[in-house]
Amino acid sequence: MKLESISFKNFRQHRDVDVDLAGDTGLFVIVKGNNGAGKTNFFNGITWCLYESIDDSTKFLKESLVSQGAILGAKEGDEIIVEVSINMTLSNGGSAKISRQYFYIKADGEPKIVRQNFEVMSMANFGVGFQRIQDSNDWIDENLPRRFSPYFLFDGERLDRFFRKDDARFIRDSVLQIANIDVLENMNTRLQQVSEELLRTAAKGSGSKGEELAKQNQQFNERLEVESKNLALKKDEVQGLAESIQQLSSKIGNVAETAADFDRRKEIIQNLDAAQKRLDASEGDLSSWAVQNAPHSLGMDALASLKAEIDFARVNKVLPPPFTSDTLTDLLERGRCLCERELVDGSESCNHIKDLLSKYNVVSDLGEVLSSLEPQLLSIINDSQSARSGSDVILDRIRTAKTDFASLKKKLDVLNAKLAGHNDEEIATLHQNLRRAEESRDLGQREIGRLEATIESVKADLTRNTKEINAQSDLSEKAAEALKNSKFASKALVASQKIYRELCDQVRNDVANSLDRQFKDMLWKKDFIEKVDIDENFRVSVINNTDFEILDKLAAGERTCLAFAFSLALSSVAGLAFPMVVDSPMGRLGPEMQSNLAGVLAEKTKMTIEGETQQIIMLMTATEYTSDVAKILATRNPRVFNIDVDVAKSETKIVKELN
Amino acid sequence: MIMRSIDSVDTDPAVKEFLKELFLAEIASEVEGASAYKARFQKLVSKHSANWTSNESGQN
Repeated sequence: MKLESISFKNFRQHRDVDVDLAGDTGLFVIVKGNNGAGKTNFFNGITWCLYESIDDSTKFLKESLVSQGAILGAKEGDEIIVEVSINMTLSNGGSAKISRQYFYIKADGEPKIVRQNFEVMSMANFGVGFQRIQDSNDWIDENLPRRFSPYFLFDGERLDRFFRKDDARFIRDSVLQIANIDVLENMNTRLQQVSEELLRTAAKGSGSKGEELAKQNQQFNERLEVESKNLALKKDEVQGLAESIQQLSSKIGNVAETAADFDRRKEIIQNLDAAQKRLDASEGDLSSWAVQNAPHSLGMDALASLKAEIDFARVNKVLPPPFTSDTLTDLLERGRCLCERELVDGSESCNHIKDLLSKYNVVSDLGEVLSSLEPQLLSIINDSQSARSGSDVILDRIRTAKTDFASLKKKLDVLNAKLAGHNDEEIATLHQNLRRAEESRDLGQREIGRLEATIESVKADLTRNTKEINAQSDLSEKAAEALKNSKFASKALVASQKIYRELCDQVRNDVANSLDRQFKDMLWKKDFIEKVDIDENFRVSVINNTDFEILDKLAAGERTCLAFAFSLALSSVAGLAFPMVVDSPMGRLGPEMQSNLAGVLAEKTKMTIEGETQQIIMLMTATEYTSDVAKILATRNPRVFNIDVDVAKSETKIVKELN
Repeated sequence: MIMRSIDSVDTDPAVKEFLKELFLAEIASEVEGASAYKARFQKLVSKHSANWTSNESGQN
């Protein structure tokens, strides 16, 4: 199947747009444009035309579809038609034209919907002209099953639907339907009913006892049906609860971890307060120290310098011993030098001795003063050094407190960022909801156990009842025939149920194997996935190489790959080359992931289903269709369209780029 | 696929023939009314049950 062309009339900003997707390169199409250019409405136009669905919902404001330009251009009372038409080729070689229209009348400046039309025209491959299909919705359901549509027409930024467990059963039903296995299911239901009816007919053919047995049989079967339905409902409910529990957990990443983060944050805030208090106290101590010791401290350098000078003078013998003051005075009084020569007053020698004596006296006086000061000086210096070491201790405390504070602040910032958007109340509510869901699930599981036991008991009653009916010896000819027919139908049922189970398993395994193969082939990091599996209800699970289920933990790019792989697997198993239209396939990916995914799209999505290549149409922004991505995708020779909006007219143009 | 599965299932030949006809009738039932289908269904049961030998019946 391939979308050949799409035309829009008055559909939002696509006022008059025809896009010819066909051609040799029409199997891989890129429609690129900036945000707001109309890509999503291009996508919505397709889903609206096929399924009357907008943004994955059939509930939308019908008036919202009308182009603003069309409303402004229309006069009061004018008719405005919104239309999207799709021309496509079918897997059987035929063609179809699908078109949907809403008709509006402009009244009081607003469009009012007055009627609508949906039409499918088809032409067989041998070409006898297009014929209008009687029931267009049936045709769509047969050729482009709506149940499959979310897996082929999807928004890359909203892939949650892909793996929503509630929807898995629709996929299962659709695949079974396409493989005609659902026919067997219906057949089995009827066989069961006929077998029971025949058994009761046989029972009634043997008098009042037989009547009683037939009545019991009816009651047992009715009870079995009721309890089986209750069991199925209860299992669905428990499954729903299990999924709610999972969703609650994944909603906040991990409730327990987040709650622990909240506790950690409280602890950090307390520690931060304590660090702040220590800092404040230390700064207070520093202030007190400064008041008490600042004078010491200020004078200490000068005193230390003086002390150094004294020490220097001592070491370098600046003072003139061994000549004492008395010795020099005695020399002058005796008028004799040390060598006993006469000292003549006014002579050079006498003047030298006098000069020495005067300097000596000065130095000696100074030395005495300094010597007397020295003990006090040493004491002051010691005090000052002690005071300084006291300030060092305080400064160390301040430094440590500041380091602690900065480290705690950093941790707090990290936690605050992690917990942004969460609050204690929310966590408490989630915890509460989680607890309630777990209690309900446990209760439901107990109820399932009870129902299963009841069903087993009714089945045993039914088996006993059937044996009793079979043991009736006084059957009429008609009753005997009914009994034989019943046994035959029952035997056919057993065989048919076995076939049904085997075929279901086979189809499921085919989908699972295909998905596993496709996904592993797509992944650029190959070594962490052990297996991708699908359970009997078609729920997807991804198991890593340490045996953990990690579907919810896949990175955005990996999840997008899984979505593509799932679509391709479904196409392959169902033999249905459903065209894929993907809005923003790389919207949430970084450049490296974009390149990786582009490689996957270029190389790994060339899917041929029963001789037909699957068409892929991607709607991409400039941030997705980067030059690197374009270079990679060019290997598939895409047909590239540029979608642009004329802001003044609120209208788009879609133009094919030259290759 | 389903016809092949019926052929290979381990059961009596009469049951297999019945299931094949029933399957075709089931597919055809989409274009015939419910009552017509039910009558056809019961006729098929009677027809194939009649061909079911007592020996096969005894195996049941």
